[in-house]
Amino acid sequence: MPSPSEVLSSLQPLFQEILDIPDLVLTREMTAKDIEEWNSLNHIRLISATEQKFGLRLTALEVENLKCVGDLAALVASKLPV
Amino acid sequence: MNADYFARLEWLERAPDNFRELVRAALNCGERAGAELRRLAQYSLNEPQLHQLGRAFSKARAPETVWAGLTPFRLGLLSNSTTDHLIAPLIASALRYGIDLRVLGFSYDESYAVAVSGDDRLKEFAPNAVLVAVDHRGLPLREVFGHEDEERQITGECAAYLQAIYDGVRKNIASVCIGQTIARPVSVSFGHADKKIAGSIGRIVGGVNHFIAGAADILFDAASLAEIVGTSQWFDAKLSHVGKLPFALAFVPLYADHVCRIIGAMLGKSRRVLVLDLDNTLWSGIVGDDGVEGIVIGNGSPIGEAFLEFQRKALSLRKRGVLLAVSSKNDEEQARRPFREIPDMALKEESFSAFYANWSDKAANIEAIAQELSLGLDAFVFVDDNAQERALVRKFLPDVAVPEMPDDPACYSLVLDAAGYFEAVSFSDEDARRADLYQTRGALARIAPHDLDEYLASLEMKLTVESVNPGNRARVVQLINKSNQFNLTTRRFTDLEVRGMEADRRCETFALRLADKFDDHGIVSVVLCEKEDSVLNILLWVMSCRVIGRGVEKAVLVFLVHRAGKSGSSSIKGQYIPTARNKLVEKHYARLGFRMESEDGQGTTTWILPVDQAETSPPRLEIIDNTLE
Repeated sequence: MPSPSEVLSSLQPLFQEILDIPDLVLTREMTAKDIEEWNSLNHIRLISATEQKFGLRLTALEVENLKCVGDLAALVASKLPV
Repeated sequence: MNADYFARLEWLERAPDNFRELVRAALNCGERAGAELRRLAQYSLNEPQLHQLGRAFSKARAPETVWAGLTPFRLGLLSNSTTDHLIAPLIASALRYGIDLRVLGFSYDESYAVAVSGDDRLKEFAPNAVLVAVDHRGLPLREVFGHEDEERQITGECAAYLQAIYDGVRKNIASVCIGQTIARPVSVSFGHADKKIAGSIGRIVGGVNHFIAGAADILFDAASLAEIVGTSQWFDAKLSHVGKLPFALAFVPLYADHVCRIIGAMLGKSRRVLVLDLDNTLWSGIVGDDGVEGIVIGNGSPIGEAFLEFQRKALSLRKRGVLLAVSSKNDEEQARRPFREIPDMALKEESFSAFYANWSDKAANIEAIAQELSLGLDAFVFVDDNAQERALVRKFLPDVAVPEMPDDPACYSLVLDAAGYFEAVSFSDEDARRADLYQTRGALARIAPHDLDEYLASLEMKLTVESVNPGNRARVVQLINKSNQFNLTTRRFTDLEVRGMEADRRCETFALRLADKFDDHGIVSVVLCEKEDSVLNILLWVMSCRVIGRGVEKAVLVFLVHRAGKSGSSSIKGQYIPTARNKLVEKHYARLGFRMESEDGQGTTTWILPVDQAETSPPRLEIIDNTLE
């Protein structure tokens, strides 16, 4: 099972692509407030792209409870097969 | 497997891995940026890639000017769902069709009010068309199990709701209405009996879709699209709840491409000719090597049936007005033998409007076919199983559409079903007979010039002039929007605008019908005029390229002169606005004896002909004036 930090580094190119910021560097603490392009619609696109990339589904409740990039990485890591 | 084929637009070439860098690089291309971005739009792009391309293009384009080679189009978007995420993908997909698209979206529950009240923002935007993308969540749907009369009532309420929006778009916004059908939600009440029991959601949605097909000016059948890829995948409950998204993001590329191919069809950009390779495209095997006995086609073997199905697909396209042609590397005699000797072939020699089997390269052959049929290369689709041939044609003739072909011939016809090259918004008698008409035209083109006069006289042509009316309007609108070459001003008019001109006493609208002793060609030319004091001003003059070289335009002028004289106009005025496609008519007014009045910096010329100076020698055609009936 990949660690949350490994997931974080594979989320980086995905965030770069969806938000169209080629030099974006993701950190665990980062939230939507830190990035102008990260609006509510792009949030949904990010979640959808994450699901596709890792081949998993996140529930609406899980999505609602996400506070920062680190939460997303941890959630994805917990759902990946051992 | 097949759902993916549609969702991923797999008939398009795969985007290179460095697509994102290519988009950024294109933005630094200065004047060529538009052409470069348009080229990048030809790839099969996923949702993030469409986003990037659409945003890049929006940023790069100037607010009011249009890049050379692109046709501007303004689309209003009314929906009960979120649509913001569709705008950039729509703009990018439109580039694929050579359209500079601007979109003004309204979402949630605004759509009804916007249309019905004639919202100023939308009016000011002056859309060429408005897409009414209401789905099942935006309609007053409810289940009324077992009650047929209530089912009818609810269907009627939904229809009335949509009708009010459509009417609002037409009357208050003065635009054309693209009606989107309702994808049937995955909702099971009784199970298989749902269609038997009155009042189920599925039955009501079916009734509403039937209404939409009749009531909308232009139909966008999203319900069929969702059905093709599967409604269980089309709808995404979570995205709907989290962000009011109308359908899964994976289908954004497909949805956007379909909206844009409809707009393309409205603008006359649909393709018209299907050029086919022979060996391993229309049959299995190589006729030159294997002989007629050695190739496989027809019933009795899986591979033979697969190719037969593809032939039937091509034949069915021919029936609806698409011209077929052959471009094959072959000895011509050998290449024709299967058509003559194998009765199982669905396609016959006479199915083709042009047959090029030789050893020249295929790009040169396609150019020759374009010349023979007097059609632009952007009207062509080229199908070949051989990847190298496809690459060559793409390289030398970038305007020709060249679909990727699946490895399995059983999927060949799927390519033509999915790609939508021949999208049409209407169907006329002319379409049904087009392929046959082009066959006689080919014969005409091969006659030496000095015999031509004699030949034309022997055709006994009759030109009938009608005012535009409900009976001929569909064909008139089609001709106005499809003609690119014999088109003096390339002004496009919608059905609604033409109707407006018919009712306007200052306007004269003429539809011209041509018949000869062999054929009734139907309506081949349209002229729309406006009277300004003592001048008859020609706003639009288009003619079908099929009848070029028959003296039709001279006869039309004789009629116009006669008409102008009768209505008290002392002169006739015309204008030529150059485009990439209408060089053919640059000297049109000069040839007809008009004098150039002015020329602006962009090559637009204005011409004038005093009625009493017009040459009135009788044309070779008999003119029948049916405008006063």
